[in-house]
Parts: sequence; structure tokens; C-alpha cells
Amino acid sequence: MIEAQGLSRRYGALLAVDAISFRVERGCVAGLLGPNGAGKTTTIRMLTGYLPPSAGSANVAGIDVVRQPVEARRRVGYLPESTPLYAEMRVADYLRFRADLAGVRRRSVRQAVDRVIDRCALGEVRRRPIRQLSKGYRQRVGLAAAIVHDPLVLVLDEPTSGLDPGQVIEFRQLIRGLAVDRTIILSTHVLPEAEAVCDEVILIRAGRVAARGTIAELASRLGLRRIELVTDAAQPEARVRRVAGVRSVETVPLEAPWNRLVVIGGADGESRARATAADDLPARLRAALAPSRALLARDESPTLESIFLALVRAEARA
Amino acid sequence: MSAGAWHREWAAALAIARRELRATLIAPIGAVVPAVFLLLSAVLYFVLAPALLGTGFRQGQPATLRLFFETSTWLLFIVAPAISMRAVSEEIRMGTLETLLTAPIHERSIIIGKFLGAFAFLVLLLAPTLLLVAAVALHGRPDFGEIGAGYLGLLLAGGAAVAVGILASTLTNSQALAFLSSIFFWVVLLLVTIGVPSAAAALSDHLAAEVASGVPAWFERLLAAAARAAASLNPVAQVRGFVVGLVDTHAVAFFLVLTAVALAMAVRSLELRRWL
Repeated sequence: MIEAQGLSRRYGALLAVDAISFRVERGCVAGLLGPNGAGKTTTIRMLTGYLPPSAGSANVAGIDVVRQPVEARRRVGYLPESTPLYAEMRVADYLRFRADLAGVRRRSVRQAVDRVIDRCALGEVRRRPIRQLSKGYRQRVGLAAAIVHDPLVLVLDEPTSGLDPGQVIEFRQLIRGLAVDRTIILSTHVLPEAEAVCDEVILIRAGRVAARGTIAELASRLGLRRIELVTDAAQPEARVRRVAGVRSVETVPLEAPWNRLVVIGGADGESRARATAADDLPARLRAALAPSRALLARDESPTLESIFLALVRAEARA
Repeated sequence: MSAGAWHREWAAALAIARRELRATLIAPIGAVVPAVFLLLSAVLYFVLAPALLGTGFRQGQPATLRLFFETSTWLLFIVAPAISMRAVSEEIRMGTLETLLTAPIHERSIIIGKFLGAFAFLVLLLAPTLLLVAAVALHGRPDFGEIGAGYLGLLLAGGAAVAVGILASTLTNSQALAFLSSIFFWVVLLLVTIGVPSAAAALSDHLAAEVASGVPAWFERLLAAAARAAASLNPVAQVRGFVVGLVDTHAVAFFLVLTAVALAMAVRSLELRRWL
């Protein structure tokens, strides 16, 4: 369990994190999402007991990170953003070192190291110096080191950045597998990642929680859908924008005179009535573009990306 | 702190010390520093001093290592900063300090581990100098008590120099800057401890000559006290006793206190780093 209450952090005059509150239950993978500079890393560093908060409190596995920092850190495994490792050490030696640091009993160290080598598929490289490893392997060494003391809570800062697509998929499977009996929070600005791995997301923007919930909850709350049209109408974007319920439009030019329009539609605010009204949105979009031709290329429930954009833009307008 | 917690902190400090020692041994500095130190010591003792001063390792000279201990002490104030400069600076630069500061241990254990690792390297560095002792013992009958005191002095002064070096390395991510700041510390300490007594003496003489009514006694006492206090902080003077076989509790306490103060400040400096 991870809980933040009114967590704030100030760097001089800059308020990097502004009274953030959230709660992640055991067995859950939560995604901390937001544009770069939104305060993700600062929030994570407060949860792991690296940075003391300027105000508010945080709990991991029921222990206050400010009042009992050492006890709290015993229950947290942490993979920092750029995966700092000692390049000159061999993989198994490094994991042994981290087990000693984390307070694993002397008798259990070997067993703990073997367990995480197995779990993170590091058997082939266990005797290799970290310096010689690929980025994908290094990331797995970082994760193995973070779980060597079998923590209840796992905190991962941008865990898949810099990995190739194959490695990303492997790494996500690894994370999902670890979630069974743990609480995991990971930060990312890669939205498909949050969709693939997280049970719920916490969107943060400018140091505040902009929205949180499961992806399905967020989508239904906003009544969002994503519609793609191919049309030969002149200046289609301006015409589509006037349609009620359209939140954003993007134009992708195709072979002239054709354009592809990506429309995010849905209700503003809470109103259920307007959300259902969005059901006939494709028809109304085509009406707006008539008499030019408009073909419905795609109509789907929204991706996290569209939710995110809608929220960020809604805030920007407000 | 409970026994279990104490044990965990100690195990972590030892793990940090082992890693530090191993990393220093395989770093370029781990080969260069001992080579330069041993070479300089040997050349001074076996070649330069006999040739130029007629002392050192030479027929007819007393079987003593005083000269070696004196020169080594001077070298140590350069060698120790070179050993300890990487201790924390490198961790800051590589980002690995975040791993240490999020491990379930107190900052104290990090600094103690770093200190023990660097100090162990210093001991390894001094070990080959036992060959000098062997060489002297082969050709004469040295005073082993004096030699023991000399080594004790080297270890105490070395420990203090390593501690100051570790403090300096918590302040910057640049090894070079850490090295220079700890050298700077010793230079300033030497200048102050030599400068203040001689300035006090000069001032006292000047006042005695210029002020007809005589200088108030309390002011004379104040100057003398300042001069004594400054002189007692002179690290080179503190080592001199050990060199001639004198184990002075004042000198022992001086280096132990200096070590403890530097390490305590290093712990504080790490704690403050969380606020940056």
C-alpha cells in the first residue's frame, strides 16, 4: 500500500509538487503520468525517502517515510530514472552488495541473489561486468537489485525509457509478474505503457493531480471517443470544430484534396446526458462536412493518449 | 537502536567499505598512488638522503626510520586526499548516491563504510614499507618501539587526512575539486598554526617596544594563549612526537578528534544533500 497526503515539495521559489494526494492498494500497479517536468520524479523521490517533503506525508506499507525513514525504506524497492549502477562490478557481486545494503540476512543473501537472477533472467550474464551489458540487461540488473530484499512496495521511475520495443515488452511482463503480491508505482510519459501495465493512473500536471482512476473510469467520466474521418472537404478542421461535443481535432494531410481528421469527442464536465449525446457524433460530423465526401475510417473508445490530451487541454483553457 | 538494526547498519557499512576498497584498487588511482608513494619513499630514504644529507640508509648512520616517517607524513597529506577524493564525489557524479541514500540505512553507515574502505587502502599502501623495516633490521639493530610509534603516527594522521578527504568529497561531484579542497584545508591549517604564533610573538615584541606604559598583563596572556592554541593544532608538529618514538596522548587525541569531527561533518553534509 502506498499513500500520499498533501505531499508538497518546494525547490527555492519553485513549487515542484503541490499538495498531491493518492492511494495505491496492494496488488495494484499505478502509473504516475504527466508531461516532462510535471513533478513525477520529485513525487517518487519523496515516496522512496530520498527527498524529505516540504509539507504533507507519505506512507509505504503503513510506515511513515518522514518519521521512520529507515524502516520505510526497508519495505521499498526503488529503480531510479537513469538506472545508476557500478559499472566495474560483476552482476552477481553487485546484487550481493545491494542485498547487504538492504539488510538481507547474511545466510539468505546467496538465495536472494539467485532468486532475482532467475526472476529477471540474468543467468547468462551473472559473471559479466555491468560495463559490458546492453541497456536492456542493465535495466534488468537495476530491477533485480530493487527487489533483492523482496520489498512490499516497488517504485520505478521511467522504467522502460531507452529500451528497444522487444525489451520494452519483456520488461513490462516482468513488472506485471511482480505485481501479484506487491504494490507498484511507476512513472512514465509513454502513454501506451501505462495502458499496457497499469491498473490505474494518476495524471499529474504542474505538480497537481489532474485526474486519477482506472483507464476505463477516466474514459467514461469524460465520455470520450476517438473518431477518424477521411474527407475531401475544404478547410475541414474549422467546420468540424463547430460541432457540439468536439474537444479536439487534428488534421493529417493525405493526397490532395483528401485529409484525415482525428477527432476527440465527448462531453465537457460531468453531464451524462451530453455524454450519451455523443453517440450520434459521427453522423453530425459528416453532416458538418456535407456536401463533401466524408468516410468514417475509425470509431473507437479513447486511448489514454486522448484522455490525457483532453485533460491537459481542458486545464490549459481554464 | 535495536540489536537487529545495529547489526544491519554495521553489515551495510562493511559492504560499502568492501566495495570502496575494491573500486579504489581497480581504479587508475589504485595503482598510481601507491607506486608514486613507495617510489618517493624509497628514493628519499635509500638514495637522496644518503647522497645529499649523509643520513638515511647509510653505513655508520643510526638504524632508524625517522627520516622515512617524517617524509611519509608529508606525503600522506597529499596521498590521503587522492585516495578519498573519489569516495562520495564519484557516487554523486554517477547518480549511485541515490541508491545509497534510498537504502534502509543511516547516512552514518555510508560515511563509516566509505572511511573504512579508504582507510583499508591506506593500510595496504603502507604495508610494503615494512620492507624498509626489514632492510634496517638486517643491517642494524633498530628500536622497534620507535618504529611502532612511527607507524601509529602515520595511521592516525592518515586516518584524519582520509576523513577530511571524505568530507571534501561529499561537497562536490568533481574528484579534482575534492582533492584540491582537502589539500587546501591542510595548507590553510598549516599556515594558521604557524602564522598565528609568530604573529602573536611579533605583536607582543612590537607592543613592548612601542607602548611606554607597558602592555596590560591580560593582553599578553591572551596573545600567548592564542599562540599556544594555534600551535597545538599544527598537524606536522603533532606527528613529530611519533617520529621520535613518543606516543603523546595529546597528539593521539588531536588526530582522533579531527577524524571524528570531519566524519560527523561528512554525515551532516550527506543529510543536507537531500535538500538540494
